[in-house]
Amino acid sequence: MKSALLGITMAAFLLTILAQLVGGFPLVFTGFRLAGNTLLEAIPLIIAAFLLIGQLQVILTPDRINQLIQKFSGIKGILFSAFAGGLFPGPPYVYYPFLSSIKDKPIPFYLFFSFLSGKHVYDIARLPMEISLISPGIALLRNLISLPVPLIMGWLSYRIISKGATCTYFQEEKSE
Amino acid sequence: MIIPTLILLSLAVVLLLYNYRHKQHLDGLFAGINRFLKICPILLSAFVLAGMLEALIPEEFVRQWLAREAGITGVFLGTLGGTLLAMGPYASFPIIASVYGAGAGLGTTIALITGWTLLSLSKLPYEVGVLGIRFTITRMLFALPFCILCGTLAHFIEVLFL
Repeated sequence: MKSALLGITMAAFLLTILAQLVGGFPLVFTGFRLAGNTLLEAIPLIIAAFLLIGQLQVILTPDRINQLIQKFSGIKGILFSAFAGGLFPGPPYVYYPFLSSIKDKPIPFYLFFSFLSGKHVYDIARLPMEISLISPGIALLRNLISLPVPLIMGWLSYRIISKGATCTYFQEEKSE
Repeated sequence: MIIPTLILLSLAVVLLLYNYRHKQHLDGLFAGINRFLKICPILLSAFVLAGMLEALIPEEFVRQWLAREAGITGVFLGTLGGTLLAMGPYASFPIIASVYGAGAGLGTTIALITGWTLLSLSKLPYEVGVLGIRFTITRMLFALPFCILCGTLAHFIEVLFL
């Protein structure tokens, strides 16, 4: 988190300097004005989003999702793990350790595929941010267009790569 | 923005009531506040970054490379841009919004978001570390055509219907 903050603050600082060099104070002022306007417009939505995210975090614990994901396989499993991925709370440093904790269990890898794609595409905790920070219309369209993506990706990996393979199939290379 | 705010607030209230029945509503409330406070500095920096980007990106560049007229080129550039946006949603979304606000086409914007969600380099170290390089490359190879496909679809929706 600290490195992310440092990186983005540095980038903002560098762009402010660049704006000063390119267009002087008026351009820097325009940049800050644009930032302020967007922030003021988005703040009620951001607060509402975090209220929702907090309550979701309590309901969707990694344990609860882990129990469910192990019950399903095949097409049903792809559907379930994609949506479970979408419901799974937390940033990469939360869900990758979760996957790490179950990767040695006899779970077919295509479920990992669809879980990850589901997390990346559907991520319900990110949706309020997408709505508030980009726009409700674009968020709706993006979600509608990409709705089948995790399912197709899971199905393709199920059909193309060995169906019964678990995650160790991909890790053989490590031991070579 | 009022309607989405009300929808999110209503959902939050419904979940709060659900958690209240299980005596976990305060945990949820604190989790939300805690997360907000943690993210706040990133969010503020991201807004400044996005504002500066919006002020700095020349309109001519957007028209030529990213606007609706850029067509499929914009979709490819959007996918590439999304992959390179190695930041979390709080930082990336304001930037994507500023690119869209500067006049980028719908296809480019959707390709940016899809590229960021499926291919973003920010998740790579975690994925490679946990699931291995082979898994990561295979997943990315599967994902790449979908980013272009989603952007292309959005581009045609914009051209034909909007």
